[in-house]
Amino acid sequence: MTALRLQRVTRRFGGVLAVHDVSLEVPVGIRLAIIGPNGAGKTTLFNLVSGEVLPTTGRIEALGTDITRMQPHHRTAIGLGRTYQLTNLFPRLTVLENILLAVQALERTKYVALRTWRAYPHLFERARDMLARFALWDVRNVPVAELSYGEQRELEIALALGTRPRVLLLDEPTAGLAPAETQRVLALIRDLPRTITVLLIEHDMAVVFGVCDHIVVLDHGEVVATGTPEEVARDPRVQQVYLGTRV
Amino acid sequence: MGPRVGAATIAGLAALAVVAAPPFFVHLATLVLIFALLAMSLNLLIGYTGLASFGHAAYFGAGAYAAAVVTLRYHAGFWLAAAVGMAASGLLGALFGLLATRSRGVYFLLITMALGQVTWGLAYRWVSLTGGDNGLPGVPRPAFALGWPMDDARGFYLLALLAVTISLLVLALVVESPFGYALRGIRESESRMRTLGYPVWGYKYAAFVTSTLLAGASGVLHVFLNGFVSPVDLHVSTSAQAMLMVILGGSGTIGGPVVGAASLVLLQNVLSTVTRRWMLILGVLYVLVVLYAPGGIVGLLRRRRPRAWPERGPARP
Repeated sequence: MTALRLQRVTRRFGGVLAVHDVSLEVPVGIRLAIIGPNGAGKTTLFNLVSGEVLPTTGRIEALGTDITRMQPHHRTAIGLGRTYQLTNLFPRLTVLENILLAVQALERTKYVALRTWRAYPHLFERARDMLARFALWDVRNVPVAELSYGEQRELEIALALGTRPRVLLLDEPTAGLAPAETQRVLALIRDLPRTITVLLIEHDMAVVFGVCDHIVVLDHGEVVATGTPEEVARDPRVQQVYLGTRV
Repeated sequence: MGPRVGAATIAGLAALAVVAAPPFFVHLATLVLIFALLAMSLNLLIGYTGLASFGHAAYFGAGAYAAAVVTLRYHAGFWLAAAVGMAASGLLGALFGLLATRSRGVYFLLITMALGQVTWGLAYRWVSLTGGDNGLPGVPRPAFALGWPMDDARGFYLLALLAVTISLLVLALVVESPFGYALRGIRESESRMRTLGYPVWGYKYAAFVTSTLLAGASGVLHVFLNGFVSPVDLHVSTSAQAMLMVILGGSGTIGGPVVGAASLVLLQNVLSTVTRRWMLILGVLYVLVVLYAPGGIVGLLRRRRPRAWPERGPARP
C-alpha cells in the first residue's frame, strides 16, 4: 500500500503557484526528504497533506483513503501527524498537559466535560511513557513557554507522535538546534519503527543523508527530481537549482 | 488546594452573612452575584477558550426580555419564566454562534459586538414587544416559587446565591475536564489542536452556547431583581462592563469573575455617589490592570505555580 499519493496537485495563492502539478507516490515505511530553496513550496505541500490548505486542483490520498477535501482532524484519525517549522505548542500549559492533549486527541474521552482529567489514568500512563522516551519527564510540570528551544523542538515531535500516526510529517525538525540536540533528534527519527512513514522537510544535508532513503527536490512549486540521495546529488538540474556547485 | 479551599470557605461565609445586613446591602450583594454569573459565563470564552466576546449583553438581555415578556403577557410563574429566558438566550447563542465561532481573535470580538448591537437595536425598535426605549417595567416577583420565599430581598438573594454556587461548581469541574483542557488548547493554538485531531469548531461552538445559557440565567435573575428591563441592559456598555469584570478579577481563573464583579459593582456604587465621572476612574483602572496585572486581582494574589499532576514516575533505566 502507498502511504501517500498526490495526483497532479496544484495550489494557487492569488497569482502565485505555490505548488504546481505535483504528483508523488510515497510507499509505506520510507524516509523521504523534501528539499528545495526557500519558497519552493515545501511547507505548502505539508499543509495540503495535513489539510490546513486545500488544493486548487488535484487529488490527495493517504493510506488508501481520499483525503483531498477532508477536515484536518479527520486526517489525524486515519493516521496522519505533523510538526511545525515554527514551534506550535500550547505555551501556557505544562509539558505534561501538552502531551495529555496529544494522547487523548483520538480518544472518545476528549468530549467528557463533567469529569476531571484525573479520572483517566490510562492517559497519564501513555503520557508518562512518551515523556520518558523524550527525556522530558523532569520538566513535566514546567509551562512550555519556559522550556529551552531544544526541548520545545523535541516536544513538537513528541506531540505529533502522541496520536500514534502512521504517516509523520516533520517540518524542519532540527532547524536552530545545537549539534548535540540535532543528533538526539536524528536518533529519535532513526528509531521510529518502519511501520511509520516519515516525510521530512530539511535544509541540513547532513540530516538528509543521515536518515533519508529517498529525496524529492522542489523548486518553484514543481518537482525537479526524485530518487535516492546519491541519484539526486548527481542530478545536474538539482545541482543547479539547489545544491550549488560545491556538491 | 489549601489556599483555594480557604478562600472558598471565607467567600461562602461572607455570602451567608449578607443575610443579616440591611436591605440595601442585600440588594447590592444580589447585584454582585448576578454580574458574577454574567462574568463567569464570559470567562469560559475569554479565559479558557481565548474568545473575547464583546457582545455578551445580548444574551444577558435576551434572557431578561424573554422572562419579562412571558411574565407580563402570559402571567407565567417564576420557574417557567426562568426556563424560557434561558432557552431564549441559548437559542440566540446557538444562532449567533454559527456566525461568530468561525472566527477568532479581534474578528471574533468585532462580530460579537456587531451581533450585540443588532440585538440592542431590535429591543430599541420592536416597540410592540419590548416597549422600546421605555423598556418593560413592573415585572412582578412572585411571593413564593416552588416553596422558595421570594417576596423579600433576602429570599431572592439566597436564590441568586444558590444559582451562582451551582454554576461555579459546575464550571470548576468543566474547566478541569478533558473538554476544559481542550478549550485551553484551543486558546493556546487552534491550528495545533486541529492537526492533533480535535474538531475545533465543535468545541468553540459548545463553549459559546454554554456561555450564552449562563448569561441568560444571569439576565433572568436581573429582571426579577429590579422588576424592569430596558435596552440599556443590552447595550455595548453592559458587554464592556462584563469584560472589565473578567479582566479585573482575573481571566482564566475560577474565582476571578466573582472577585471582578464584586469589585466593580461595589466600586461603581461608591464612586457614583462621589462623582459623576466614575466611568473615567474605571477606565484608568482598566488600563492599569491590563498594563501591570494582566492576571487580574486573582493573578496578583496567586503565586505562579503550575499544577503538578499526581502520577507515578517512569521506570528508570
